[in-house]
Amino acid sequence: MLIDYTIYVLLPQILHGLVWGIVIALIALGLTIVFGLMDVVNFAHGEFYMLGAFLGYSLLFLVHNFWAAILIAGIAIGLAGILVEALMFRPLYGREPIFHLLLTFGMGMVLREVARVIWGGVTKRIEIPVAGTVDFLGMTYPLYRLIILGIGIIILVGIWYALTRTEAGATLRAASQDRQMSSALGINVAKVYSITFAGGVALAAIAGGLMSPIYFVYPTMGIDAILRAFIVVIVGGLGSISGALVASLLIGEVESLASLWISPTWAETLVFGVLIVTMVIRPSGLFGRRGR
Amino acid sequence: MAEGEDERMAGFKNFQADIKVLTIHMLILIVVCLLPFIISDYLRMLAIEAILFAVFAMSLDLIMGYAGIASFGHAAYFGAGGYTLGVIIMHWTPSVWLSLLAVALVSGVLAFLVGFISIRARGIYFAILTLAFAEVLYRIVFHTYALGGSDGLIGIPVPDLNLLVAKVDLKKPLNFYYVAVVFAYLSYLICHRLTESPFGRVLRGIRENEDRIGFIGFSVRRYKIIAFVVSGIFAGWSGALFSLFKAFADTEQLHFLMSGKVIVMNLIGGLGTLVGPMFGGIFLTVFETTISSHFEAHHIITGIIFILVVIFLPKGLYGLLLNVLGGIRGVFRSR
Repeated sequence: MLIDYTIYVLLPQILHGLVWGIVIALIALGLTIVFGLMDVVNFAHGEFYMLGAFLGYSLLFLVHNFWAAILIAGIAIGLAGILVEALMFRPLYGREPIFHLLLTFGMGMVLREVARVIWGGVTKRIEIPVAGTVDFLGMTYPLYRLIILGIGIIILVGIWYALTRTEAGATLRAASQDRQMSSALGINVAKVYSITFAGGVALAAIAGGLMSPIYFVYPTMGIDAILRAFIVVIVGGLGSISGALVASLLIGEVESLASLWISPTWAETLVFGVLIVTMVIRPSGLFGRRGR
Repeated sequence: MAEGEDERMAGFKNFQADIKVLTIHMLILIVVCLLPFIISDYLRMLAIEAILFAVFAMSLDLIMGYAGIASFGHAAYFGAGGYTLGVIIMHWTPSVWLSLLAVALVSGVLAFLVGFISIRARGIYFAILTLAFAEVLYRIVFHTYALGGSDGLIGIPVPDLNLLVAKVDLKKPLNFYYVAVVFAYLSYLICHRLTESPFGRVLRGIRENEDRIGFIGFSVRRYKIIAFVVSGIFAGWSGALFSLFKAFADTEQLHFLMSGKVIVMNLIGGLGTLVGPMFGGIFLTVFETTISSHFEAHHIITGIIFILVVIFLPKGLYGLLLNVLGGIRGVFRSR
C-alpha cells in the first residue's frame, strides 16, 4: 500500500517538481546573474520567457522542427536583449536599482500588450515533440519531461563550467565584483553587461520554449513565471547563483508535492509562504552575503 | 528691539506665504467645485474615479517619496479597503462612517503586519516582499467563494451618508463628486501637515541616509512602520470609496498591475511632493480611460510613457513644471 503510493503518486510528483524546479532555475539564473553584475532587477524577465514561447510557436510553422524553433527563438530574444540593454538600461546605470525595476515594469506592460496584439489573447498549445513514456522504478513517466530535465541539467552544468572554469566567466565575475577596477584593468565592462544580459534573457526564452508543450502559451504567462523566479532569487539570496539553484529545486518540490494534498492554486500561495518565512528568518536569503 | 522687528518681519512673511497658499487652495477648490456643472455626466463619473486615484497615489507618496521605501504591493490596501467596506455594508451596517472606521482598522492592521515583517529588508528586497504579500492576499481573495472569488464582490448597496444635519444620497454622482473632493482635500491637508511636521522631517532624513538617522537616536524601524500604516490607511479609504462608487469590489483592485499603476502615477507626478502624485493619479486615470476608448491596446502607450518618464523625467511632470516655472521666473528676475 505504502509502496504503491510511493511509486505511483509520490515519485512522479517528485519528478514533476524536479523538472519544474530546473525550468525555474533557468529563468531565475539569468535574473540573479544580471542583478549580481549590473544591479538591475529585471521585472520584464518573465516577458522574455513568454516571448520565447510565442516566437517558438510561430517559428514552428516555418521550420517544422521544434528544437530548431526554440533555439532560433532563444537567439532572437538574446539579440533583442542586446538592444534593450543598450537603448534603455544604459541611461539608468548609477541610479538606484529601483529605477530599473520601474523601467522594466513598464517594459513588461508593453511586451505583454504587444504579444496580445500579435498573437491574440487566446491560449496556444504546442504539440509535445517527443511522445511516449519511459518505464523505470515500476512507474511510467513522460519522455519529454525527462528530456527537459536532461537539457536543463546540461545547460546548468555548462553555465557553471563557463562561469568558473573559463576566461569569459572570470571576466564576468571580476566585473560583477568591482566594476571600476575591472575597467581599469582593461575589461570592456559595457560589453560584458550587454552579453550577460543577452544570455540571461535568451535562457529565459529557451525555458519558455521548452515548457510550451507542457503548459499553455498566453500573453500573461510571464507574470506567473517571474513571480516564482523572484521568490527563488530572493529565497536563494539576490545575486547568489548556487542559492538560486537550491531555491529553485526547493520551490519546485514544495509546489509539486503540496498540490498532492491541497489544490494547485493553494500550493502556489504556499510558495509565497516559503518566501515570507525565509525573509523573516534570514532577510538576506539562504545564501545571501549581505542583508540588503 | 531689532530682534523683535526681525521676528515681526518673519511672522509677516509667513503670514504672506500663508495667504498665498490659501489663495491657491481656494482657487483650485473653486475650480474643482464648479467643474461638474460644465462637464458631461460621463466625465463627471471619470472625475470621481480620478480624484479617488489621486488620494491612492498620494498615500503611496507618503512612504515612497518621503521615507524612500518602495512598496510594490500597495494594491493590497486599496483592495482590502474596498472588500472591507463591501462586506461591512452588505452584512452588518449601512453606516458609511462605521465602514470607513473598519476599513482604517483592517488596512491599518494589514499594513502593520506587512510592514513589521518586511521593513527590516531594504530597497529591492522590501519591494519584492511587499509584492509577495499583496500577491498572497490577491490569491486568497481570488479563491475565496464567500468574497465572490474571481467575480469580485458584486452589488454593494450604496447607502446615504449621514452628516447629522442632512443625509447625502451617494447614488447621485454629483453628491459623490463633492464627497470625493472633500475626502481628497482633507486627506491632502492631513498628509501635508504630517510631512511638514518633525515626523515628516525624520522620514525625509531616513530617505536621505537611513543609517545616520539611526545613529542620531531615532528608531528608523518605528518611523517606517508608522508611515507605512498611515499610508495603508489612506490607500484603504480611497479603495473603500472607489468600491462604494462602483458598487462592487474587484480582484483587479488587488492585482499587482494596480500596484504598478499607482507607482506609475507617482513617478509621472513626481515623488515626494504629494501634489505631484495626486496630479499623476488624475492624469493617468483620465488618460487611460480616454485612450482605451480609441485604442484597444492602450497598455502599450501607458507602458511607453512610463519608460520615457523613468529615463528622462525621474522627477516627474510636476518636477518638470517647477523647473520650467523656476526658469521663467529666473528670466524675469534677470531683466
